[in-house]
Amino acid sequence: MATRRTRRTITTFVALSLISIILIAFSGQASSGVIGAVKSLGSAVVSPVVSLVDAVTRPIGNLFAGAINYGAVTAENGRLRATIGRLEQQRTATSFQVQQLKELSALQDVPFLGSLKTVTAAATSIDTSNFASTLVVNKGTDDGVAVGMPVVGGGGLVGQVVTVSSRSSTIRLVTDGASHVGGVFGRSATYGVVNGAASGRPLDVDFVAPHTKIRIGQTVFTNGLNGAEYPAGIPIGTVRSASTPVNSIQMSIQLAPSADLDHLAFVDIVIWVPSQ
Amino acid sequence: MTGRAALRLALVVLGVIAIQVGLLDALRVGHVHPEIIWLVPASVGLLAGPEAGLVVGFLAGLWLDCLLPTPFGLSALVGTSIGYLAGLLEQRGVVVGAGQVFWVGPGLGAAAGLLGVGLYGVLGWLIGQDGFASVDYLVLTLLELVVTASLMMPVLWSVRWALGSEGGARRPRRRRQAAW
Repeated sequence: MATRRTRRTITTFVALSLISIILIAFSGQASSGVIGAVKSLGSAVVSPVVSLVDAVTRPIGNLFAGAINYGAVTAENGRLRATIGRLEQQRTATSFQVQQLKELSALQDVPFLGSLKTVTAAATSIDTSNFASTLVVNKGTDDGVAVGMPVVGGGGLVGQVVTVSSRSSTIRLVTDGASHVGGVFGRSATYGVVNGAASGRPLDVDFVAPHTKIRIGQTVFTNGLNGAEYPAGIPIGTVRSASTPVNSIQMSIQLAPSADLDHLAFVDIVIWVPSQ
Repeated sequence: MTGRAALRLALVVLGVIAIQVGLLDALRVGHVHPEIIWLVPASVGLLAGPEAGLVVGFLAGLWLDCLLPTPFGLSALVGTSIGYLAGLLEQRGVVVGAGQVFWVGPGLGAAAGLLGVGLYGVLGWLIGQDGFASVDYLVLTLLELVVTASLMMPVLWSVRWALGSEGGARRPRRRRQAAW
């Protein structure tokens, strides 16, 4: 009796482990199909409960954070007001150039961020797993969000929507190990692929030829090349270090992300789906 | 397992995921935070044996996979393994509570938490998730030890409530009461 039960348990263990392995094997290819639908359903069930927990715990956290950081918050508020004033001034001054750029981009069929519609979303949680850099936001298919859409905020590229349900979306941040973004160094013709590593780690750039002239502090933008997953012109990061290791076939370049990924309260989801 | 017990267990899993996402994800040291989802299959295994433990581990992991951009099925595989291993302990007579010193439950919780993040990291790296190797494991280990040890007993109580008469049914009621 005990043996039969043990055998059944082992069979169940092997069967479920095999199912898991098959799911892992197919998760990449079928993310937009059946698995995508299952993920949306699972996420939709959890998100209202998470919102409730968040609504209960956030005021408590805010109370302590506000009490401890009152001086810093007041000072930051003043700085932000000053920045908003400057930006308003700049916006007026540059509106003419932006309009010209839009028209030129339209002529060249290059998607430019300024010409695209965005949806502003509030962050509900960040990095659900220690092994993935993600952000969950409170906007989903009901607001026109779809898998693959780029996300910007906090000064640059934040990431890309990877899972979406009716009222929430999960965004893979640029720092995630599975994130790969086509980039261009400033106004040069130097292209590369920007890869994430993990939360808090710098971004790496691949496929830049040895001894290419790269400046420290130079900004890397999305290149928007044909078939790219992001529109052109979004700042990804600034160069922190650049060197050519001995006998290497490419440069070793590290970037600091342009977006302040540690303090993302709101982000803009760009209503733009990559061309297939 | 009865339908009512399954429903109550689903509620417990949902509650743990909600606490994880809504509360513990914000409890960061550096860039890592504790993960408590692995306490559920461990508790079910310890209370109801390996078969229940691995099934609940699989389903809870699958649910968690819905929220993550990591390979779908990886959490399910880790949950299955933890539930099964915890169930093997139950089969070998390990009882959390009655007649045991107080740290057995928290100790097993910490072990489940460490096994969960360790297994997840190693399996992920093996299947080509290079970023998994860059996680700050030292801080994560310390954090996981403290938080999972602290929360194991509340999770165990919740799972015992969910399982009803199926959780520890082989032990006499008086001994169980004394244990808690």
